[in-house]
Amino acid sequence: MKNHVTERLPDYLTNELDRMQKAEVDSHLEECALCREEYDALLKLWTKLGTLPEEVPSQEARVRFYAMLDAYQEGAKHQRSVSGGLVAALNELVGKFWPREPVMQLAVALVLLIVGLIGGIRFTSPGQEQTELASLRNEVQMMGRLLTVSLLNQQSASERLRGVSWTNQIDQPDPQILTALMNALRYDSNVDVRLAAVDALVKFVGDPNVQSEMVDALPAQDSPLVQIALIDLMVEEGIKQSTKVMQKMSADPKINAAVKIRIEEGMKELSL
Amino acid sequence: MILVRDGDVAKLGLLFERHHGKLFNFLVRITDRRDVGEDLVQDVFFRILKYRHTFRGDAPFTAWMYQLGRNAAADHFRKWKEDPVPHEAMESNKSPEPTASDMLEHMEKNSLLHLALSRLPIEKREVLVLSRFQGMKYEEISTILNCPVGTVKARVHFALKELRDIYLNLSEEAVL
Repeated sequence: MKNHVTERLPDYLTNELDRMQKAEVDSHLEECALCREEYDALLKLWTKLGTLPEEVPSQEARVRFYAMLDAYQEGAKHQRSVSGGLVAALNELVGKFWPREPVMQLAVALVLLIVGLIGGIRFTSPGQEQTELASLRNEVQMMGRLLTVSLLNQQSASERLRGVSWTNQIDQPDPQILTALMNALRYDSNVDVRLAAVDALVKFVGDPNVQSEMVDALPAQDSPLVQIALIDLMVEEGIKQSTKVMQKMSADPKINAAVKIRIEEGMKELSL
Repeated sequence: MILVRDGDVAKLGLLFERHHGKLFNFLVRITDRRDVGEDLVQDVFFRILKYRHTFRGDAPFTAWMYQLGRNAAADHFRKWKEDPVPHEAMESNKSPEPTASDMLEHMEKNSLLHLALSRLPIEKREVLVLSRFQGMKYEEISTILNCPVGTVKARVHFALKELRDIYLNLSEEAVL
């Protein structure tokens, strides 16, 4: 029997053949017992696969999703009002953190103490307003650092995520914060925390030390999402020293296909 | 999804209602664990929310969602490799067994096939799941897997044949 159709049977079953190809297979199956036997076996398997019970998610999945969505929207609202100004930031802090965690209570207490001190100094030395305001800003920044480092050491991934997002409050690169962020990027077990660390490090990427740390961290990542986020950053910032690392990663046969494509695109952009 | 990307985050609820069942099915078949499937669905929708600005709209939303699902499953496998969970954990998350005769029949038919499916290498299992259970065409699968249609076609071919061999071997072992 010529032109056996066994190679086309999976496409026949998955309905990927056009009308003409299908007719050819049909007519061959009528004549060829060998191919028909193969077809019957595959059809049996294909049909049986269809009888495997469908997996239905529990109601809890819906509850968890809407809780996550609400929390996200709430968080976004907070983010907007926090970025509204210093006073709003303090309001958010008191409202959100005071009742629950000791770390937060300490931070709020610190803020109140600082505000009290500055207020007292202002009444006694009205001529030094600018200095006091700068001092207040410094103190708030210091508190942000304290919070960030504390949160990044929490067991819960969502707390660590909050820690990373707190770094947005910090304008000046601080060695302690940078080390904490780099540690989060390199060693945190949660992909979302690592991705947030990449986002947070963007504002400090002008620092050559940060650049080289990030280049070093790239091959150590095991998540394709984090790898792509880092590669995007390298390309956007034109960090040419990353090309050597990317070349090496690209040569690795185990590399994720999407990462490989991004590396190839990235290398082109970096060579321009 | 375009509305979600452009800031109407509440609309993600519609996408969740429409697609989470299918995504859950895919993830359970891939990981062979209901509890992990549920966690990964949450993970995928969180990533959709967080990275919504990266959705380009040149491919369907579902393709992007399944890509995120595959990445989440890959992360799970990587972690699981480091910290394997006993098989009993998976058993405890299955639906309650009905009668003894139902169980026997299930054991004889579905479980063997289920077991055979779980023994397929992941890259073959996922094309088969996408094709048979998600009802996708090779073209759609190739978009999700970011590979040529020919690769999908070849994987489906090998997957079906390998599944049949595994299933036959298991059936013979069960008879002995």
